[in-house]
Amino acid sequence: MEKNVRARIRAGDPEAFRELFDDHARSVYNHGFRLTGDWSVAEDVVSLTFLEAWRLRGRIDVGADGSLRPWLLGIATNVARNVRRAARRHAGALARLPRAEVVPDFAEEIAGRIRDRERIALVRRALAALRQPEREVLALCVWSGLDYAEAAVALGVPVGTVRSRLSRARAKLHTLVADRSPAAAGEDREPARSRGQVSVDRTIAVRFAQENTR
Amino acid sequence: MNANPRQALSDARADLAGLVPAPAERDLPSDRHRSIQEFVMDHIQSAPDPAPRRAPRRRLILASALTVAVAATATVVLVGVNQPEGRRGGPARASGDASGREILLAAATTAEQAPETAGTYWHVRAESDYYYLDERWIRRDGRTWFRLYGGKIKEQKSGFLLGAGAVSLQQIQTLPTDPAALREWLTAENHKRPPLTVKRSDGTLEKVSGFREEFVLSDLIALVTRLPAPPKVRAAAFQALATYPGVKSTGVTGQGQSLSIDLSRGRVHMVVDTDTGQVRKTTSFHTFDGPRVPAELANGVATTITAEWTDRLPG
Repeated sequence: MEKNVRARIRAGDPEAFRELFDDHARSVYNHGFRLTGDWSVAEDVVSLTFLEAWRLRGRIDVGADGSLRPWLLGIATNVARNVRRAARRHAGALARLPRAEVVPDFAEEIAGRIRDRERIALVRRALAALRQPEREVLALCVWSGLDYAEAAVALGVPVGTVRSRLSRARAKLHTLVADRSPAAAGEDREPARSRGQVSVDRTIAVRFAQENTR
Repeated sequence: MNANPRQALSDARADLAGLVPAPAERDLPSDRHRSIQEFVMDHIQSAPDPAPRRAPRRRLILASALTVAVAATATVVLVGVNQPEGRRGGPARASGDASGREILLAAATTAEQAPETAGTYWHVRAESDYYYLDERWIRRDGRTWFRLYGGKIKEQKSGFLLGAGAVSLQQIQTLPTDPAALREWLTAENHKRPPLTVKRSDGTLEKVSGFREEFVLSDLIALVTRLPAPPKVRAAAFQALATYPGVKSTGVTGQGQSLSIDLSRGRVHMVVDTDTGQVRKTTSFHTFDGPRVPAELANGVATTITAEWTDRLPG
């Protein structure tokens, strides 16, 4: 089944590609948000990931089994690393992408977006302590549920590298949590609405903006 | 370490899930799912097929419109991801760090002495550290053209945005030159905004409070970054910014002095060049078009803004 899908997409079958989009757009969208912290950017990550996937479809291994999701999440990871660069590659195409109508349902989304943003902010503070490769492995293995081998495919690195990155991420996060006051840990889950301010260790309160200027 | 990789991974996952909060998970809004899908499908079917493994077709047309939606939402960057450290609930601090205020006051002095400039089009270029490049040319009468990523220039309804909507160049040039009066004027204008009510995911409605005050701060920053305010008004805006209690110096960068302003819900960062009275970088940038949104939606990405008069419209 998956082999068949692989072969069809590699051969340039649009219907197979349409199904691929239906099956995995959500995963790519959420992965894009986790890496960029912005839902609008995550939409562009979706567009760009699928445009890239089509461009790179010749690299699909038709002999392999399994879902193409790890491959797509790998492309999405690359796109999210530098959205602008990816956008340039497909600038001609993107010019024709109809944009979301922001006005009508925009306000309705605000509350949800605020919560998402607060949450991702907390996540980011923790993740700021990690190097980008460790973060990507964490996002793929823990939040997108890939196994070591799938994450290795996604990132184009050996399985052992995935494993060691994840284990480094764990060690670093353990150290951070140990440094934190015990009260803070519970508050992380329901962030920052009222005075129950999350007191995250200052050393990890690195700004999103800074992260992106590296 | 566990010998079984699957077990080891599941242990690691459980462990990590306990260490970092679970991130948000949501569906693409269904209309967006459709429209992005149609867009991708149209594109791949209409574009000449790049044979697999060949280099991508090179199209150097950096055409535009990448992120009108983003322009309308995400470039409004007031509050990054960091909340001011735990002063909530306690007494408000009487004043900010002196050196932060001094930076703004020094910038005010320089700005006030800068010569008046003039031209046909007010050209604003905003480039974010990570994503976005947009330029606008606003003619003196408010007629506006824009382009993204150096693409094709297009006309757009916009004008000079300040307060609750577009204002005329004449209004900008006759704004109060006293900091308190300026802030009052902006406060009054922003109170013309309708209340902002949002629907929570459980269906209940919630009023967003304090968003007008965030717009006032944002407008003050706009006056020193992206609007053709005369020297005395720019100086007043810098002075008004200096009165915010949460102003703090955060060091020196290659481009100037870095400072932050704490708000009840977050923090704004700026890099100010006191030698020229220019703001080199800010995490507060309001787009000219689309709904402007409160600080909470900010994505915290620093944006470099340059703005100046020119007599030429490109293309």
